[in-house]
Amino acid sequence: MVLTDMEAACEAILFACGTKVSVKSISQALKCDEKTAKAAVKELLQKYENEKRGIKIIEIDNSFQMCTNENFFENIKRICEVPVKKSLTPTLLETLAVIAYKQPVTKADIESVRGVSAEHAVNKLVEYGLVMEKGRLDVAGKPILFGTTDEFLRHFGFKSVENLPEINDD
Amino acid sequence: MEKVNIRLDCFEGPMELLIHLIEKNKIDIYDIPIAILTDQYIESINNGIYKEMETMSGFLVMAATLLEVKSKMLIPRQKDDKEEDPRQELVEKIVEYKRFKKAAEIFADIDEISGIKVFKKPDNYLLALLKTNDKNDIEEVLNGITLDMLYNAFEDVLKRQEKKRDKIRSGFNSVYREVFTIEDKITYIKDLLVINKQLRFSVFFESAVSKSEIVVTFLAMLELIKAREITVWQENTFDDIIITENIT
Repeated sequence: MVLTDMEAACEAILFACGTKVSVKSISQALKCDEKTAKAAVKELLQKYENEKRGIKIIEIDNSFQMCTNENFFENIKRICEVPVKKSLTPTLLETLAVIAYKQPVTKADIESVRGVSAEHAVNKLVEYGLVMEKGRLDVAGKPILFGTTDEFLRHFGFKSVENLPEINDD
Repeated sequence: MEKVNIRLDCFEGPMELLIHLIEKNKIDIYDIPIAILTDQYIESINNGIYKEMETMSGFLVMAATLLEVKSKMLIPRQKDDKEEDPRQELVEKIVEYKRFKKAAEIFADIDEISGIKVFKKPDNYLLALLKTNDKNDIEEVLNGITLDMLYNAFEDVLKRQEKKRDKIRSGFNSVYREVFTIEDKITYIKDLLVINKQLRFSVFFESAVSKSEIVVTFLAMLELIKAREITVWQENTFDDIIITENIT
């Protein structure tokens, strides 16, 4: 893999930071405009993918983050303890879908779609870090609004909440 | 119509049951035969295993909704009636629910095949660097603040605390048990009435008594009024109350 200086710089930044880095931060570090920075990171992302490397770069909400390639997870597991994958029941998935596509949304909204109490499901999703409070609705009772987290994007591999898969009515 | 034999605990909510019935009967969502659907739904609930109240209430609300739509459909509509099809709202809800169910299935598929990615936290050295930057900021934050200002701020806080303290409640020591009962006071009033044809309420204040004693006496008076054993009378507002015995 041959990298330009800029791509190499992005590589170093992403590795050093660990957490997601916004395009803005990268452009500031590289002392260039955001468009150039984004192009460089995306080029790096592509090169990693083309070469089927053990490390990959993912895009979340106009930020980028390094992580391991899932295909090699078994190898990693043999060396270190990694947390068990949380299992999502159909109920949780349905609730998550409602929140993801309708966010920000209150528990009452979720309940009116599914016809059952959303209490347990929402709490569980918050616990899993897939869903979080995103303020309150300005009506009587000031109910809490819920939306998805970065972790949700990471877990399902979505680039942003605008990039959710289309649902076709059949 | 085939007999419906459904275990309600397969369905977490009324929407699921409804969708199941719709699919089972191959019903066209955009032209629901509401009578059939409602009957099947209600039969399912009747045959179903009773779950706890909170879950069942959701099912019952749906049953009520279906019945309402069914009854609205029975009212003959004019051809050019601008009014909405009574099934409309229900259909919209069903369609919406189906969409999310589909989305959930898409999520489930992704969830199943998605392997685990490992992420790293920021490097310790970087974290330390970031912390030292914070230290410099503190100098700027404290800039311009004198000891006087700090002292005044502290005084303000103390004053606010003082205002918060409930002076009345903090004066309480212990709570004593009431020694006056209404029964006792009823007897007391009745005895007094034997001696005096008429009593003034202010008589009860004459000996130094506690507020609770006065209140209990008043309550005793009210009891006696209710039992129609005495009559009370007050000439003007806030005048003394005259009490006489009712001789039946």
